[in-house]
Amino acid sequence: MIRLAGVSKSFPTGGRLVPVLHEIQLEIGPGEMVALVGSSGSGKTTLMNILGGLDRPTSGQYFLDHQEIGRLDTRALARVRNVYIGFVFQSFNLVPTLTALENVELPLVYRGVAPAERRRRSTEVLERIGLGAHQRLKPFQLSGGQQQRVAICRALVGNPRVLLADEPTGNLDSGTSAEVLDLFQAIHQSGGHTMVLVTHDRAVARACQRTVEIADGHIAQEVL
Amino acid sequence: MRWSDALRMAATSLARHKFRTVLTMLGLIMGVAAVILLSAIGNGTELQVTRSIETLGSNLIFVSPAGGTPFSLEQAAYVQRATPMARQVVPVLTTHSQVVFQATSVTASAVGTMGSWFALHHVRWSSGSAWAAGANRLTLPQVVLGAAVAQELAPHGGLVGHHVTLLGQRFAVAGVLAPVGQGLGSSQDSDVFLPLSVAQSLLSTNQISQVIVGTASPTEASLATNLLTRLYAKRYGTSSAVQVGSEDQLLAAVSHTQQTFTDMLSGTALIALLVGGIGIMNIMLVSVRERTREIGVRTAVGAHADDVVLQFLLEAIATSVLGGLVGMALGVAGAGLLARLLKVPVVVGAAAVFLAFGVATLEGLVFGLYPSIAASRLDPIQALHYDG
Ligand SMILES: Nc1ncnc2c1ncn2[C@@H]1O[C@H](COP(=O)(O)OP(=O)(O)OP(=O)(O)O)[C@@H](O)[C@H]1O
Ligand SMILES: [Mg+2]
Repeated sequence: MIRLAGVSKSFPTGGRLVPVLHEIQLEIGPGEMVALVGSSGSGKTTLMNILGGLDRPTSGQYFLDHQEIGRLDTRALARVRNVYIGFVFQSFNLVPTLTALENVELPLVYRGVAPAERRRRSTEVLERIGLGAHQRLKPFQLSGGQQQRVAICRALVGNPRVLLADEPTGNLDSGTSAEVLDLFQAIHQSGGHTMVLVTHDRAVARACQRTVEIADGHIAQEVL
Repeated sequence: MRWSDALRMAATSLARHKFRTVLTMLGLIMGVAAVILLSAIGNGTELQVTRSIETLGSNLIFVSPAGGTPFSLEQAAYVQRATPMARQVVPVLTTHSQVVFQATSVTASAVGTMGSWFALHHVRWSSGSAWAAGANRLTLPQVVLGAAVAQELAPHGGLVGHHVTLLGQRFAVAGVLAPVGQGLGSSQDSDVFLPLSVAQSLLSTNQISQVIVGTASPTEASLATNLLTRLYAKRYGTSSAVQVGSEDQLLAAVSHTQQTFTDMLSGTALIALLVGGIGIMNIMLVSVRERTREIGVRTAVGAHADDVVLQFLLEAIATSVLGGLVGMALGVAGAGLLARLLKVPVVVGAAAVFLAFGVATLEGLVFGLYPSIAASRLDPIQALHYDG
């Protein structure tokens, strides 16, 4: 499903290019659930942004479902983000002025789905995740755990093949984290998404089928 | 993204910040209203001036001396003989004089002329009538007062039959004219009329200031103008001894001046309108900054740069269209109100309305473009981590 062939990423810092990812080789099969671990600053977020189509590699190739992402124009890339990928952030990133329901609807808005259909599908996902009663609330009226679950609904509503989550429990207490984690596992079991989770949490890593460790921009170790 | 969704987004965003939206629109509202109102006043004044010149009489031409050319009643006779299309020839001697009635006095233009002046100018009478023929004996001469003069002297009317003094002579008031309104320069409202022979003897002159010629149609007036111009040029060997002008020429000149005035007024308002557009740009930049994170989120879930441009551009255009509509309503309503309250003639021109509204709408597009493009160029990763 996902294949990285010699992907490098450098950022211009202080007038020169500082390499952050070095020739990453990585293959993730369809339906796999992978934990991405590594110390702070090792390049996890940088890698996730590339996987999510928010950034492009400096060199190397990224194939998503056999499509080379680096070759796509901006419009096609926007469509890939919209259709193939669901992204969950550490800091939820809900639009504060929109209700839970409207936040969940967003990917469908950019897919051109009609309002009634959009609403129906979003409500369905929210209800499935136990937030049916909260769909009219704004983010500030929700707890952190609830906000993250709304964000997960938003990632799921378009039925993406790939679900990416960058430290999804990083801003949550341990109890809530466990709930959110259970949710990811349940989603994986029922939906068969290809999933990549960045985590510092050993428990999270253990819950995944496979753990990939990244150190200083290299794939350091694959724990099977 | 669907158009309906883009429009709804713009509407919700404007509705969310009602106060800010109104403030942003204020410049446009006032600009649009000002363009409509000022051009309406300008048009109205132009119309009034043209009308009041037309009430001077129709199809008139004016013959007056220039550069000290002697001009006596003989000239009136000459014009009468030389111009077959002249229906009426009325000599006029004009001066200024105090007009005194009891303890009140007012300065007026004193017009010494014939009784035919009144017919030539289609005057309407407020009270009384023209002086009786043969009443121009110095023993008890009669006078006709313009509406404004009469109003000043006796606000409650009833002057006819009373005596006023002008040019050191007592006159009996024979009639008072109905008001015609103020045009550009003077109008007959502030004139007083007395028999020409009386005026000449009081001023100890046999000269006159002007000969007014009435013809049957504008075509005849212009024929007569050409004819007289040629005759006088031949008679005096120069074209500048006597001036011959038709009412049409006067109208054209005045209406041209007035048009320039209207254009200047509207132009000034248009500049104000343009300045109002800068407010849109300002607020849109603030709005984009405030919603940086939202833009990042939208991009992450599949918005293309064009979707982002559309979102903000529609917001700017919606603001300007709304402001334009309100300004239009205000301008038109204001014109109506002004016309009623101040009795100023106003003519709301469709051209001014469309121009003002069009410019306002265009401003949303023009001034919204830069902030919208700036929004669409944001790097989604940085935008997602923006702390505003
Ligand atoms: N836009 C950027 N410009 C310059 N340097 C960057 C940029 N983004 C990331 N970096 C650098 O790349 C390195 C990797 O950053 P990244 O955010 O991928 O780490 P991470 O593994 O996600 O860390 P954490 O666990 O703390 O989130 C860091 O040294 C960071 O300073
Ligand atoms: Mg990170």
